[in-house]
Amino acid sequence: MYNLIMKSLSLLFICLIIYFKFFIFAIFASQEVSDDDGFEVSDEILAIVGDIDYGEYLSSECTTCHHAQGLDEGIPSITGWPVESFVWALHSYKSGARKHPIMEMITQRLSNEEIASLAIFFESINN
Amino acid sequence: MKLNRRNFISASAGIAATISSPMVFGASRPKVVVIGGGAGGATAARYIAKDSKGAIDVTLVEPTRSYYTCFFSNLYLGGFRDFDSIGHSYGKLASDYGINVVHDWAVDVDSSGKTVSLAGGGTVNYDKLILSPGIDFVDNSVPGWDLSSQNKMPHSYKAGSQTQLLNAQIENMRQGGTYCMVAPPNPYRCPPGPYERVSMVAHKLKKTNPSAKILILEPKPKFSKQGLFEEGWSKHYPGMIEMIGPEMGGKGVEVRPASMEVIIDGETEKVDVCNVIPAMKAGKIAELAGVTDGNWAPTIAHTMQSRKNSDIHILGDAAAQGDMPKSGFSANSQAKVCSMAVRGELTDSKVFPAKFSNTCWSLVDTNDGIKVGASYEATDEKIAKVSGFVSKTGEDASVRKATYEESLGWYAGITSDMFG
Repeated sequence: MYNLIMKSLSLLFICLIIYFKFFIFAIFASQEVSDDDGFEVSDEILAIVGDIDYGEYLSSECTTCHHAQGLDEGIPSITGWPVESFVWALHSYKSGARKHPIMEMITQRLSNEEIASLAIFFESINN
Repeated sequence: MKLNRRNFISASAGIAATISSPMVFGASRPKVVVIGGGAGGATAARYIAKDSKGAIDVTLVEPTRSYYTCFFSNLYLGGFRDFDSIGHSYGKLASDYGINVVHDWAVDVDSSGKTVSLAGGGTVNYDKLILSPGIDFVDNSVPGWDLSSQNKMPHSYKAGSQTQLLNAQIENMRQGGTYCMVAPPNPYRCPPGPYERVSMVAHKLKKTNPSAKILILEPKPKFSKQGLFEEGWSKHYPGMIEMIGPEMGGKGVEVRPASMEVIIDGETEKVDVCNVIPAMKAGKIAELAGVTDGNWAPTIAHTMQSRKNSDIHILGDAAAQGDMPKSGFSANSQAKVCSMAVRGELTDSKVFPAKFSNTCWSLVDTNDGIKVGASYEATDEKIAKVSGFVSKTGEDASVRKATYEESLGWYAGITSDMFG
C-alpha cells in the first residue's frame, strides 16, 4: 500500500513538472524569441544578407507603432535585436506559427530579402 | 551636399525665400514647404529633413504651437487620458531636425509662382509643396448649424479647445439629461471615431450621471466596427444608448442651437448636449491651391502627388486616394511614401515601391479595446487594399486588454514618429 502511494505521488510529481515546464515554455513562446518552440527558419533564409538602406525605408512602416527609440510599452521594442532573432520572429508571423493579426498581415507581404533588410537595419539601432 | 543637375537647376531658378532655415548648406538647397503639422505633415517634414540629412530645406507651416491629436481625444473625454497627454510641441522638429517651423496660417498658394502666402503677411517659396491640411466642414450639411454655433453645439472633430468644450458640457450636463450626436455622412475623418466617442461619453456618464441618455442620429446605413461597438454598448452600457438610423429620420437632421433642439423627421426634440459632426471636405487651402475635385484632392498613389499639379503632394484626410480610411495612421503611412518620392525627385535618392498600412484602435470601455486594419499597395488607379483584419465579437477579455495596451504603445510610437 505504501509503495502504491509513493508511486502515485511520484507520478503526480512528474506530471506536475511536465505541466510546469510546458507552462513556462508557453509563456516564453508567446512573449520572447526562442528557437525551440518548433518553428524553424531554413539556413537559406538565415543566409540572406539584407540591404540596410532598404531596411531603413521599410522600417518606417514599423515605427508607426514600434517606438523608434525602443520604448517598450504595450508594443514590444524591436531595436537592437540580433539579426537571426529578428528574422526568426518575422518569419514565425509570416508562416502563421505565431499569431497576431497585424504582424501576420504586415509580414505576409514582406519578401525574405525585405525581412533580412529590416533585420540588419534594426540590429544597427542601439538605444 | 552633392550638387547634381537637378538641384543645381532648381537652385539657379529659385528666388530667395522670405523665410528660410539656417543657411548651413547655402541658398542652393531645394525647398519643401509642408502645410499642416498633423500626422501627415509633421511626419513628412521630419522624414524629409532626417533622410535628406540637411540637403533639403524644409519649412513646416502650422498655426498651432501645441498640437492636440484627434486620435486619443476621445480617451480624454472618457477620462482615460489627461488633456496635456495628447498635446505635442514642434520644438524637436526645429532643434533636432533643422525644420523651419512657422506658426502661421497658409492663406493662399500661387502654384505658377510656387509661393505660399501666410496670414501674417509673409510668403514662402517652394520647389515641392506638401498639403496635409486635414478637414474642414461642408457648409449647410446640417441645416441650422455653422461655425458660429460651434460653441453651443461643438463638433470636437478637430482636437483642442473644441474637445475641452465638449468635455465640460458633458460634465456639467443635468442629471438624466441627453447627449445627442449628429453623426457624419461618409467619407469622413476616423471612421470608428464617432462610435468610440459614444463609448467614452457613456463610460463617463455611467459613473457621474447614470440616468443620462445618449442619442445617436445616424445618416449611414452601417458604420465601422458596428457589430463590435453594439456588442460593447449592450454589455457595458445597457439601456443608455439609442440610435436612430437613416430610415427613421437619422438622416437629414436639422438643429436649432439657440434652443438646443434637434428636428428628427419633423419632430422637435430638446437635448442637453449636442455634438454636431457635419459632413467633411479637404482643408480649405487644398481648394485654394487648385488641387481639389469636389470635396477632396485626388492623388497619384505611387507618390501622393496631386493629379492636378505634380509639384504638390496631398496627404491624409484631404486626399482622395482610394481605399485607405481617413485616419492619423493612414496619413503617417502616406507621408513616408510621399517623403521618399519628394527626396527622389529633389536629390535623386533611391525610390522604393510604395507600401501603405493602417490600423484603427478604439476603446469601448476599460480594457476593452478593438481594432481594424489593412495593408495597401499603389496601383495606377488608386491606393488599393491588399488584405485586412478586424477584432471579433465575443473575444476573450485578455485579448481586448492586450488590444487596448497595444493602442497605448501605438500612440507613443506614432507621436514620436511625427514629432521626433
